[in-house]
Amino acid sequence: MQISRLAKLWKLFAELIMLGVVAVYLLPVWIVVVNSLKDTIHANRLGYNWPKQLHLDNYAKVFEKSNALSGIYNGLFIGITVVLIGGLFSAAAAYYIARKGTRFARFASLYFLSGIIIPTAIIPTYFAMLILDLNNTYLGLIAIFTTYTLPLSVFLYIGFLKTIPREIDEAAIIDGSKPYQMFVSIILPLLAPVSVTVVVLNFIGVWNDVSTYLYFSGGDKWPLPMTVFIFFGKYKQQWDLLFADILIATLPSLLFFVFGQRYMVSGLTAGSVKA
Amino acid sequence: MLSKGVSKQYTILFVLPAFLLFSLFFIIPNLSGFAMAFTDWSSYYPLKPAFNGWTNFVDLFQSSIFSISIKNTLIFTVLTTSVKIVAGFLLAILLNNQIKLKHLYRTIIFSPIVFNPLVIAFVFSALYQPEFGPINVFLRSVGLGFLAQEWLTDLRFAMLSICAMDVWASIGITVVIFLTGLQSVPQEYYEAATVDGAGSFRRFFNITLPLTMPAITINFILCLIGGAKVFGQVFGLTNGGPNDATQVYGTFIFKSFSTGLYGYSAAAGLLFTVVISLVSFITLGLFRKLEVEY
Repeated sequence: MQISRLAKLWKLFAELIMLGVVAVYLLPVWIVVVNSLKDTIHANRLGYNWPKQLHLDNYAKVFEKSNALSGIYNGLFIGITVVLIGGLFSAAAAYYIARKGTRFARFASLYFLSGIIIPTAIIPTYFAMLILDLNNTYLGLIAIFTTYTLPLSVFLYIGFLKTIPREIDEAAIIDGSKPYQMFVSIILPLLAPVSVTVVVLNFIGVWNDVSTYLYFSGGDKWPLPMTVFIFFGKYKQQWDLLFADILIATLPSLLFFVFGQRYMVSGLTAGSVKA
Repeated sequence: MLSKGVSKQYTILFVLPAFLLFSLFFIIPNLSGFAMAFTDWSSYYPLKPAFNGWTNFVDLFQSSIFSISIKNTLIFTVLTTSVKIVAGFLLAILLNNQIKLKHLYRTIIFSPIVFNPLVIAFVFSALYQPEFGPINVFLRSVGLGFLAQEWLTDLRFAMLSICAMDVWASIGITVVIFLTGLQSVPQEYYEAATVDGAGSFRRFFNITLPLTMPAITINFILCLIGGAKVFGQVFGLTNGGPNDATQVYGTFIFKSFSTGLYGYSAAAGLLFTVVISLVSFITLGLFRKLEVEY
């Protein structure tokens, strides 16, 4: 009797805390939305109230004045290329590492995983890019981003490959499969579940990166979220336009989140529980 | 041992593309950082670095901005890591109960992960505004006006404000990892312990804590590395100002880089790489010892 009352109180307490926490997350979003629909004078007061008059034209203005379209193009082009190349390279590398028991395979495994802990050396990379004449090029950005996705991708692929029985390989070999044929037509399809995780994590990583774009490229190569930075430089203190720009720039991320959330969770939690 | 026919199937060509790319843009730059840090490389002679001994390091340790940035990075890392671990664990425990809408709550807390840190920083720069900023307006409206501050320009609060924003933005990751850890603890252990008369505190310290150690390890390392590498949040919110008072390691390197002092920045980067790698490996080793087999 007493315990159940205590349990009820505890539950009520937990619900209240969670409601408070959620309010802390939703109120900023609310402020961004309502003020993006006001005129500049009212928006700059950053209030909570719903606008008396809807200024939907803010969005049209922002679309005209910001680099949203080129941002979408850059983000998709760089992101998709990196995800495809990085995914293929890391799956192939993980396949070799997980299946072949040689000393080099074990070394390669440590070699890639070192990248999870050791920070990237940005300045020397800048020098390498300078020598290769790759600074401020799509090719350069794609090469660096692909490199940075490798450690976690290889790690996730190795973990998944260990759950695929070797007998499948052996059966394919007996049937006369060539190495590449076997990898492409038998192993790759089996990797689909973890590939979704790898693709989602890597794409969002490239889409939302800040420092790589700042160091290695100019604004004309930046993806949508980074275009907000340029916009902020131009329209300081016009919060109606700034908030509208922020909403436009975050909408794709939000859509992506709705679909990709569970894959992000599974990618982030790999290795955090007993394997 | 693999038979010869099978082993041949796994040709080294599978690993080669990734290996070459990773060597070219990660391993070699990291190794050459050891040389580059001892050069006078700058934007004036971008392709002709010459060795200048320990000059860069001497300059770094004589620079007051460098020491400020180390201090701020430490403050940021320690504060955000401890808040995220403690509050994240508590939130995960709450969400592990039979709360209504717990999936929705989890989703909402996790959602800032898809937003660019710069964009989050711009929104917070509005929230922190002294005059009309919603935080101060709220404080005044509930009669706590004396708590309203100049969040980003008052040196006592600027770093704290950046930390608070970072906790808001990334505690979701910590919570999700803790939740997975909590859910992996077999329910029978709790039942058995309850039958044996263990109270909730003993259940927590003898079952929950040791069995979620892997999750704590991962979270600790992620928060630590993430904290030390902080860049976008500070760059967007204060850009190191006012007067370099909120400069962190990442923004310090970017600032030196932007002024064209490449060798100097490389020296700062090298120190960072060495310290972070050592700290991470040591922490990883320590925590692995605390984990239990079950």
